Amino acid sequence: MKPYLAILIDSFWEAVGNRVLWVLLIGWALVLAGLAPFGYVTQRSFKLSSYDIDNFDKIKEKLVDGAKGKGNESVQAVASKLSPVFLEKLKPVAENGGENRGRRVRSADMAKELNAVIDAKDLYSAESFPSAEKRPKLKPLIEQGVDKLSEFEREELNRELLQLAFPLELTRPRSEQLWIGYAGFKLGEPINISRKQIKQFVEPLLLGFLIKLGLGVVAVFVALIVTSPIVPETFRSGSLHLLLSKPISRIWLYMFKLLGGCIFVLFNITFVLIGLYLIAGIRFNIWNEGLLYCIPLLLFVFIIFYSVSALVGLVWGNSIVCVVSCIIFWLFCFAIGAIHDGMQQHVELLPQISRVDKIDGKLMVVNQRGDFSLWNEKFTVWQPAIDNDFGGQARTFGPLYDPKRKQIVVKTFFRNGPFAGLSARSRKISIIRLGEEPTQNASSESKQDEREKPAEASAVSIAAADIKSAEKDATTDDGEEQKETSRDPKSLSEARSTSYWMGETGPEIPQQLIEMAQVSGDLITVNRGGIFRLNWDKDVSKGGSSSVLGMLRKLIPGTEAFENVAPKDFVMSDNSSASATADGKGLIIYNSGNVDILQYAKSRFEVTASTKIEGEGTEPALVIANNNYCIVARDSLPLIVFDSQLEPVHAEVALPDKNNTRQLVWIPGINQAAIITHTGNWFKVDCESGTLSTIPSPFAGKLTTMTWESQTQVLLGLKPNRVVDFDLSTNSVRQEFKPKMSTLEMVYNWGVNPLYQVNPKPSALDNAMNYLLSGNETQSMSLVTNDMKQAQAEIDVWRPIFTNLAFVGVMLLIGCVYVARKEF
Amino acid sequence: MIDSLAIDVQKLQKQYRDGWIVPRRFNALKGIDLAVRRGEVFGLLGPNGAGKTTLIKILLGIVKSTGGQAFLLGEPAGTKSARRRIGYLPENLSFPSHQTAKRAMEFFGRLSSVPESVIKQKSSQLLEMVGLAGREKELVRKYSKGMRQRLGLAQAMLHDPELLILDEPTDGLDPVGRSQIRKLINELRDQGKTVFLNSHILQEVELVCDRVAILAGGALQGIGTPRELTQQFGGALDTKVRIELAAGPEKIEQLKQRGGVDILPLPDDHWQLTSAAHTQADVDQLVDRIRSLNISLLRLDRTKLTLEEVFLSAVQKSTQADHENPFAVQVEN
Repeated sequence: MKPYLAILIDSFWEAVGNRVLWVLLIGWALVLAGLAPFGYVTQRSFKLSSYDIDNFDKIKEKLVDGAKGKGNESVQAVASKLSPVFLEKLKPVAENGGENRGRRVRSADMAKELNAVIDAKDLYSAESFPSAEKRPKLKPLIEQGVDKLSEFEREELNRELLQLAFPLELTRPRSEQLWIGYAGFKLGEPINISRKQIKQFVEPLLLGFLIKLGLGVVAVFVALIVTSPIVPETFRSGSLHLLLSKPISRIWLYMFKLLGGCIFVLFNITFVLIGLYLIAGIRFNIWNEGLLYCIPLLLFVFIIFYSVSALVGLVWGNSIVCVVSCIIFWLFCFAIGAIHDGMQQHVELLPQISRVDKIDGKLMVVNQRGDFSLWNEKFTVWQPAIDNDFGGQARTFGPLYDPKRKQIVVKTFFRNGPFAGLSARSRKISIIRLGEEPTQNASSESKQDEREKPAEASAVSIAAADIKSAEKDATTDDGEEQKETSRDPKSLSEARSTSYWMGETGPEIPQQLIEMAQVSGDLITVNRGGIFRLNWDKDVSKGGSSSVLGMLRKLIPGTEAFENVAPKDFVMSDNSSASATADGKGLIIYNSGNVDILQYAKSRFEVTASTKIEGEGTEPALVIANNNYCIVARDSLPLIVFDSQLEPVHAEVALPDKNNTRQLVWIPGINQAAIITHTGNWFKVDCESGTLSTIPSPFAGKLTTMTWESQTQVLLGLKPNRVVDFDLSTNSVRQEFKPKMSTLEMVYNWGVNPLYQVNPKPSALDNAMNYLLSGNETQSMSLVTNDMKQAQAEIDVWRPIFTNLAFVGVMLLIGCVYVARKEF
Repeated sequence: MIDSLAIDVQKLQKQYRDGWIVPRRFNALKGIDLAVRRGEVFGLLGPNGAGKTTLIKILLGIVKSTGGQAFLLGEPAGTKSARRRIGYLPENLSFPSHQTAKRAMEFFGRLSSVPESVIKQKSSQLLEMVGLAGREKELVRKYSKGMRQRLGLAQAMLHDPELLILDEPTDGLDPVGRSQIRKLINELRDQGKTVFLNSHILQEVELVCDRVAILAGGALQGIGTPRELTQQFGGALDTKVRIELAAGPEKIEQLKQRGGVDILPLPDDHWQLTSAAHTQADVDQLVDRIRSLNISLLRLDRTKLTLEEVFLSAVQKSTQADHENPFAVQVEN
């Protein structure tokens, strides 16, 4: 090996002697030196910053009213603690004779004033804050006696009281203020994210960005330019003949020269990544070994390109041709990768079924695009149930079947960009009325009445009706009249595009919807601002006018039809989740680390059990409850099984490594819950024994959703958009619903994807990098991570590595054969 | 294969192919036989395109022969074990630009599996020997061509090879440098090393080589000591007489018609006659013939045939043979 080590040692000296290396290293050193002083500055405090004010105008309005003795007692109490000067500034211009003209109150001023309230010693009184004593967090503080509280405890109490006064307008209280600091100095105001969130976002995003762009692109291409002459110069006659006269193998000479070129990159990458590792660790306490594992990964990215450069250099002997070839190769790979990724979103991810149900022989599904569709047996496709045209990602709440009124209620919100939450053009719900249409199917109607599905099997309960009307007029959401053609599709393309039903618009759902459920026959929405019941009997004249199948209806209640039926002062955070209990008579709600079971009594919910779970409380979660147990599944944490009174913890069950819960439902009639993970695997939790087991099926890795029809019969959604009716007792498929492929799917499955699979994928190694940095095998399609049900793209870590390895192997093999056979 | 031979080449052939659409074949070596004895300094002469470099490449294993056999120090040419025992100085030598003389010596020493201690010890000795002492830490890219050539020679000797193949060793060197190289080659001969020298500078080859081979048109035109070659190529011409004559053109024409002489005109009705003359009797006979025509002899010199003249003669012969052989370059069907 000595001669070949000599080649490596010589390459080391060649790298050391290269000025570009030193320029780069100095450049990197300056970047790292610039980054090093960044860090956290923390302070234990419950004080507010302007980022904590979610709805400035509403707070202003409430405070002005409160100062006048109007509105909530708690707001009045807060307003009484504000300085008169500030209150005066808050008044609208019209009210104070134009004195406020030009004196705008900013969020920062508001935060400052509210912080003075947080410091107040006598904010709390049982009359102003009647529900405070019932709050698990406040109860011990109040019992202790407000006078005896330490300064910090008083801050906590007052901050929580402020939260009661402004539940939707302020963000969740935090016990620690966090600043981004530079050399110990605080930069701006405290930031409104936790350390965990910083870890979640800074690691994959900021570090990922620095690594991918700084090293993966800049360093790799500079390295390619610098190292491209190595092979052509080595194989130039003057130096080559001398080398070949030595007792060495020419193949190994080529391989070690190539390896020697990697030393240059290794220097750069190691220097930067160790620097970033130390800075992230020392300054942000993020000790992420994944950063160090990125060293061989980035080296591998370089080797992929360098194998091309070396082969071209060998054949053409020109370093400029080497660099140009690398750029062409990169563009080719990028184009194939971009086409693949773009199509994959529409062919593999968005069509994934997130809910499925089969009623009266009709199969209905909701996919990740938010499409609510039903199975068209004639054309074997998913036919849109109602018009929806969201294009991108969306989340559909419902569909919920209301057997009393023979109608389906559904609401879809779309995700407006990767950073945005859910939004829609309007918050009005869509209603599908069944069983009244002239062409309805009589036999199916009779079956509808028989069926009232308990919520424990599925929240979806839909009566089927064949509505095949002739031409009819319809009024859209905006009141525009449109002419509707036949609902009965005549062709495959029509079946794909024509909606089966014409939806009506209903009342507006209150803001910030978390979940929609059917509880004791009522439509209940769980929102950040409370729990609301849709009162169909209220104020019908204000309903959104609409028509269905030519018949104008004015039976839809207006916005105010949603009545708050939550316990007093019951508010929720962004990460809240809820579901109906298995008996359909109550709700289980997860809210910032608290779990509450609420029973629906006398048209109002009452908390019957409550507990707090260990942890930051910022983790998104899924919760279910039956009469005996309840289960909380949090992101990346073990499942917690409680008994029905929520204490004590009955069992903690960890999912196998890298599996995160996507769906959690009860198996009918037993104290067992089924879990589908984002990796498409299927598990069963036995609450009594507190054990987890895999449910055997031939669909491991493909599952997206499930609906249990009985203990042995289950409807399974499979990737990308297939449904099977599966019998667990015989482990066999009773029926399969596999839609015909669209042209896009055919192009993807038979053209783009096979080409992508065999094509080298240097850019796909980003996934491996994400995996190393985040430790997750799946990644969310959007950066809003509080929805555990949202489909996550699987991080295909190994396939790009294998295809790239195969590509490098082929390049090296060609190079070696060429070197061995070439007569220089 | 004879073990006493440093280089043993038997019926060696090399045919190059060129062109993608219409492949052309070119015979670079046409079955040559060559034997270089151990311990001798052997010179290989030939014009450009004669096949010299091809022969060296085959000996080093850089290209493969298409026929015949070649052995180096008793081992098949091109094998690792054979290469381990030879030192090579290529023509147009270039070193990586980041290397200093010291680092280059270390690098090439390691490539030849020379122990580190030996590299340290010998590299300074050799650099001193080639006149690069004190400049070993300078980057080679700053060296003159002559200095690079000296460094190339030093690296070729680092692993103490039994056979040195030197391709144009004095290329780029000044007269002093050339003289040093000649001295070095003589020292190597004294140490019992075999030196295979490829040079265009015929006087140099004549001065240092024990034996010389002339390669032209891919075939060996002659092999032997310079003396043997002059005899072989000159035949009767290996010793010649040159006489300056004074006469009119008619008499010179009469002398030419009698044959055996070459006559070139000089100014003022003077002429230069050249003719073979192995013995004194041959000279006397020629003088008598001239005098019989009443031609005056102004000056008479007896000279030996130079290697250059032998070389040119051999090349001329080879060129004539190539003209007579239209298949020297073949086009594939």
